[in-house]
Amino acid sequence: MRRIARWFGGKDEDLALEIQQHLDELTEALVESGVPREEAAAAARRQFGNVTSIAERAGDVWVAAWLAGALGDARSSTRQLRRNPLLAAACVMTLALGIGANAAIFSTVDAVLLRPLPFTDPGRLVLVTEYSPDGVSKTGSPLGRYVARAEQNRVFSESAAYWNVSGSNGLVFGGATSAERLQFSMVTNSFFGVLGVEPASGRTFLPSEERAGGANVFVASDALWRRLLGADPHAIGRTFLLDGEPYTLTGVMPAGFSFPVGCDVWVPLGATAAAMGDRVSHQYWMIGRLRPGLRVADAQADLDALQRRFAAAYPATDANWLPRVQPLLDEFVGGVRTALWVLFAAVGFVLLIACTNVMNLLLARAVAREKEFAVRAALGAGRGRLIRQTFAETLLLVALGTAAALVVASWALHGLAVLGAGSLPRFDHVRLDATVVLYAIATALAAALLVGLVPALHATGTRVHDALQRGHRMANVSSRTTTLRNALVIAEVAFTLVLLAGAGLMLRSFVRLRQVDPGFEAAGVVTVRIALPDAGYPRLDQRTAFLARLLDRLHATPGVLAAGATDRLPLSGERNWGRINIEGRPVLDAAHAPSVEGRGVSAAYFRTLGMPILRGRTFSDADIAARRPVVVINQAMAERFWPGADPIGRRLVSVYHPARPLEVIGVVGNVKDFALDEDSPAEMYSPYGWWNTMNLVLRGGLDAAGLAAAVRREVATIDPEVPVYGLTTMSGLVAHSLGRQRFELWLFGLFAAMGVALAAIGLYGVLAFSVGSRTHEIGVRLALGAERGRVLRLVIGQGLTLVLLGLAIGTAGSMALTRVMAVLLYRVSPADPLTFAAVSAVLLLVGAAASAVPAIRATQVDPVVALRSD
Amino acid sequence: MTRPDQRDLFPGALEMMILQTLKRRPLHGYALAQHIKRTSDDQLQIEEGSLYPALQRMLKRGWLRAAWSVSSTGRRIRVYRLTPAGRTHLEQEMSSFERMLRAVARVLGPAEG
Repeated sequence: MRRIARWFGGKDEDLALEIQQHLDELTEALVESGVPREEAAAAARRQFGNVTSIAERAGDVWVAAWLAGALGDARSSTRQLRRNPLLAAACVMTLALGIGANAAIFSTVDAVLLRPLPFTDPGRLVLVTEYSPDGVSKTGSPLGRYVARAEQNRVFSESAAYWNVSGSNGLVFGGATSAERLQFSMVTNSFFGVLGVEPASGRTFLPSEERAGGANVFVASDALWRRLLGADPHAIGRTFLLDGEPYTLTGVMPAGFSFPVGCDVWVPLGATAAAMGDRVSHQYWMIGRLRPGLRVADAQADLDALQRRFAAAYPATDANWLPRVQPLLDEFVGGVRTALWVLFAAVGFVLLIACTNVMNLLLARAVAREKEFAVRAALGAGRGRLIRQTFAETLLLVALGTAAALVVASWALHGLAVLGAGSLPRFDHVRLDATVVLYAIATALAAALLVGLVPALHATGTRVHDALQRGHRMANVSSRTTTLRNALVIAEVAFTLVLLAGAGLMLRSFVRLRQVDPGFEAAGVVTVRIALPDAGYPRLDQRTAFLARLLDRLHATPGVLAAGATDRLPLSGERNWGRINIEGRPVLDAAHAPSVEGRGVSAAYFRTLGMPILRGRTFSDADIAARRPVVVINQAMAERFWPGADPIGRRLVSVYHPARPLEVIGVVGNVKDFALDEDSPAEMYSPYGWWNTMNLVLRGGLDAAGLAAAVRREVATIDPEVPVYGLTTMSGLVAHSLGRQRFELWLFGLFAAMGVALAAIGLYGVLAFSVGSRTHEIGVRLALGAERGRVLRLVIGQGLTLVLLGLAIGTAGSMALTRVMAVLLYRVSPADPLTFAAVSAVLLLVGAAASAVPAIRATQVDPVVALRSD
Repeated sequence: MTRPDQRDLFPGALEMMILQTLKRRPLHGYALAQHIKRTSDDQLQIEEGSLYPALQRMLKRGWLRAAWSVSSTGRRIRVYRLTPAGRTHLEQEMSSFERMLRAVARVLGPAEG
């Protein structure tokens, strides 16, 4: 502190010199009065007192008062903590949990929702998709319409089109025996420019390469370049096999660039003039960069106006389609936004409960220190000074809590990584970075303010006289304190009820979802993908023949009970819709004909998945071999087009192949196609239409690995160049489709558990303290003949009264708050009475248990000891 | 361990005595302590532990000024003198002190009537 004083300029030296002179004079005086010189100096020092201390205190006058005080506060705070390590540990741990959990969830929210996309000025990027009012909720645009939009819009400075990545548009990278399946996207040349991302090395595409007949070239992701090309800088310009055809690598994108998500290979459009005018195949997703100052709504309005002109010019193809413009970020995170914000709110409640608990603990201590403060106030310490000191103690606790919270957060992030991977977009960016640390500190400061002020004001507001008179006996803890502590417990219970209600609703919803019948028997079914190289199997009949041979061999394999194939698995996230006309009804054009989902399957597909056949029959091998024009439809489709009638033998026709009517030969049960919480769409199964990628489904007595090995063996026997990959189980697919819900449920449940534990501790603390301070009163009651059962009821009743009040307030609050969860819930009302009753009962039980311990202690009060203790 | 603060008779008493003493003539710390001790017939022992912090406090408030000079015995001393602000403060304090003394005297004196 003296060093600090020195900054204020020379005053310290003056003071030291002055004191030395004083000592000299004192010594002289003593010598004059007859004291021997050698003793006089020591005597003078004794008389003067501690030179250093006096100089320090005198010097302190000059130090900025707050600084001096703060350092003193810090010293005394540390002393206080050491004096009561258990209380300190409880506070620090509670805060560490509350702040740590908050920091972890914040880092998730930050990485997933808040951080901008890794593109230039990403706020101006929008995605344009199309939808049709009669059943197609989201799809790409035909290339012709994209071209027209790109040329005629007045809102985008640039735009591009690309193939969205889905499970089926993969390609085999490398030589004939490679099993490297990569996702690829066909993109317009403007694609990279719109995103504002330059290749890390090499170039993107030349104008000549965009049109059909251009050179076969591709751009690779950084991940591909590192993993498969060994980060070789000379790889650019070399030729690699993509699906068996030679393509030249022109450039490598920077690390982290993967758009569409999961894409590793970009190839130019290579579109023919005919394709550039196509207005029917909805293959291309469009991105646009808004002109400066324009908003998403402006783009929507402009494209809507364009669409009206298109519809007038091309009624057969463009009518009945509408564009949808959304921020590009929404495409990444739209599905989890509400869920994450709700979780963020939930973890905020955990922090509130933690703060309430710490407040309660500190308040209990403040009461215990009332006398100390009263004495200090009597000795002249100002109210402000005392507030500052209690506040400094809180701040120290919070600082320790925050440090521990960062440890908690880093653990929590490991846990989140396991839980969230695969079910949250952009999750790989979640980490404990500077933003998160800053957030934790800001949260901690807010917590400190909240936690620190109440006990500080309380402790210093006590009237000196009262506190001193009460002395050590705490029979009459001021009623103000009791009210405050009771209010805190009520608040804690109310907050906890909100959390528990949220968790309860999630649980109910999740259980309902798990009970949803997906329409197939998932247990024991394994799926793998095979990909027939384009070069070896360019024609449909070749692909059909390969598949027939493979399925025959698999059926003959011991341990395989059934084997089927499909181009698209249910719950895989892939869609494939088409428009149809019903024979005998007015023929509608490609824009207006009703749309249904389509799926290619082998004969044994239905049997392998255990799907019920409701009417007619499914495909025979003969149907497939002869390519008979037959289809099987699902129940939803039967009800939509032939309500109350038998659809067997009816005929329908695809608007794309009007010359080939298809006969309905059977009706099968509905399957949950997109999600367990979505209704099954009208769906049509065809026995052909194989692309080069197909999913095998197998049911058998072998485990997943055994079945996969059987497939590999049989595929290799027929053609060793066909890769087998993507092993999963149907149960896994169902579970994966609930990944987001599982993530929410786990976290919400965890937060609720933390809330319950903290609330129980809080209630216990208040009651234990109350019993402790009423020992005398209870002793008197017992001495006067009160039954111990009565005392027990008294204390438990006191606890339960607080819990019930908290429940009432919490229920009212939850009803308002859980409404925002409605979109996250499946067939559960946000005000579900059963859930509320159940969680209230849980809290009441926990409350009773937390009250029981102090209550039992109260009954064991010995009247004699209690009365004597005053 | 520091010695506990020697409490003043009442808050501000030490300051008043210092101001009153310095009003007569400028003194350095040692002389100031001796003077108060002497004039109070050794009743008031000024603790150096209170004196120097008090002096520093009063310097800061602008009631005193300090300057180094040489004493008659050839010693380097730091002499304190009253500033106009210090004089005003002293007058205010004295008048309120006297009012209080009169009040105390009335209470302690023989009951009237």
